[in-house]
Amino acid sequence: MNATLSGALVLVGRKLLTAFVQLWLVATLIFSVMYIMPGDPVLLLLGAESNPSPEAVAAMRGQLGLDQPVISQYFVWLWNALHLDFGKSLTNGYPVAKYVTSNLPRTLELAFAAIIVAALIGVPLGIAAALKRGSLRDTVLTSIATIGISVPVYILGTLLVLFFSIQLGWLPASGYTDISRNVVEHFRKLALPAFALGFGLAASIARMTRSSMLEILGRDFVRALRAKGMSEHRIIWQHVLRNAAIPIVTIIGLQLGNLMGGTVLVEAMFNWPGLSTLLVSAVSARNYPLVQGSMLAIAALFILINLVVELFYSLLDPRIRRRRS
Amino acid sequence: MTGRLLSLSRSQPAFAASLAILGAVVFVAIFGTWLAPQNPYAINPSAVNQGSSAAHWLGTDEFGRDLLSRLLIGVRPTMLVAIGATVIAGFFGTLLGIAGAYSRPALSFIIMRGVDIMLSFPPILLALLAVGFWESGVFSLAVVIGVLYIPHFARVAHSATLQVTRQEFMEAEHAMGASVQRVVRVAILPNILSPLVVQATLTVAAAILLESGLSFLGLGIVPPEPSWGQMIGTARGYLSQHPMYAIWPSLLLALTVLSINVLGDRLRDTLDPRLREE
Repeated sequence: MNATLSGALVLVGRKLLTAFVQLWLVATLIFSVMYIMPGDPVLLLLGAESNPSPEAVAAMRGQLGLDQPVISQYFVWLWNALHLDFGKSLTNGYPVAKYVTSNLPRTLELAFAAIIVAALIGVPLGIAAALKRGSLRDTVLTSIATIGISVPVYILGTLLVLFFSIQLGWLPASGYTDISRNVVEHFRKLALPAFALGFGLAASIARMTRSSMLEILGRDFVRALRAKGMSEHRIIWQHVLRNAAIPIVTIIGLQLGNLMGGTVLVEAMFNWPGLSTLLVSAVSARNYPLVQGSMLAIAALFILINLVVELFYSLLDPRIRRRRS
Repeated sequence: MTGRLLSLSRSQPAFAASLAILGAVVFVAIFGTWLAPQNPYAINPSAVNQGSSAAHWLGTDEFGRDLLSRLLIGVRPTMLVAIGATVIAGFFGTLLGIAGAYSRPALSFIIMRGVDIMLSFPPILLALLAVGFWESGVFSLAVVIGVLYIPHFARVAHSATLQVTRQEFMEAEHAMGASVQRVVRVAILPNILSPLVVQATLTVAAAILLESGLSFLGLGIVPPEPSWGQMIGTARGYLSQHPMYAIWPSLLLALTVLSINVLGDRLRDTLDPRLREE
């Protein structure tokens, strides 16, 4: 027991260390992109074709801190980021951290809603396909899953808007209503983005569910249970599903991290005011402090989610815990 | 290889259809400018957002430009970005992967850990970061997307090289005193080519999706030059007046990506039976 506990502590320590190194590397990358990219970011910001005066260029350089030596800029940036100070927005002087903290919960909400949609669609479809392997139903469901993975999320989103808001008029096409103002409207506006984001995930969850169900169905213990005369219904629901659950739950958990990438397009297309919408509008406006701050927030969230998911599974599944290389 | 591909397309209609679609896409990417029935940039304020007609087979966009012509010339920037990115990622990724498998343990550790960390991030986030600080266009998009997919190639090349280095003929090459260049060229590259080809098809599909995603957000191909992703993004503002404006490019883009994925799956099964799933 003691050995297991210390082993678990070592594992947690190692994962925490990796996450910190990752975060530091990403922060460094986000900082250095401004210098790696060819061309002058200040001229890009002010518009080189408008021929900005040297004074305006120098002033903007000072505002961005670009007139300081790169090394000291780097440490100041890291130090401030550690204190959650990402500078001020170039357009209105608001602290970037304020934008980030107000938009972060909305991104999380959308991501969780999408995961729930994906699990509710993907798991039953995967089970249905596995139970009738090789049948027409299986072929149709598997093909739908392949298409679901191939269709980009913004095409699916566009089709959903066309059908549910324009043809049927059931749901609003985009926007956001705060939950404290109108609960029903809040969820009506959440529905389409959550479905757009969830469908692609549902496809990969369905595939994983199908293959892990098939694997368990082929095991000896299932044959033994059948030989014993247990009803097929009980075998599936009490034994096969329980054993197939670990990989299914794992893929659902791992998808949470990947969702951060998918939300970029979905948030932007549905005007959902989350971190990605913040990032995309900051990129279009070349609002550099806001780009860096929102990007770092998304990256941190991504690393944190992956860390939690990995820790959860490695502590839960003894096979992963023992495999310490 | 050609013979095997031919026999495959006879036995599998989905594969044959994908090949036909991709052939058409490549053809249009090369000759689209000449195929376009009208000037794709000609603005016509009196024919804005129209449906299909004899003059405009697929209708017009928000500036009255001919949609069919814009769809036809919109393939080329996407394909240039996708192929350019795949060449960049394939070249540097393969180099890095072989180096990772072939160098001292410390260097190899640094290379492969770096690859792992980059792989753990969604490419679209890093791409957004890069286009935020660089002017957008076919060239910059190809470079940015290419760099982002270097780790994917490196991972594949690395594991394939490790497999090859364990084979006996490698020992023979070393025993004969072959130089590193010769070993890489004669022994490693031909033997890791199959997984790399499969990875290349996957990367082309991913690069198309990434380019069209960025263009959809208005951060990719710069107007008035069209690309399918950018057309979908613009059409989103006119969904109720002109739904087909969004549907045509969506359909073409989805079909193209689906075809590449089908092709990639089949290629993987044919070229490398060991990688076959299930």
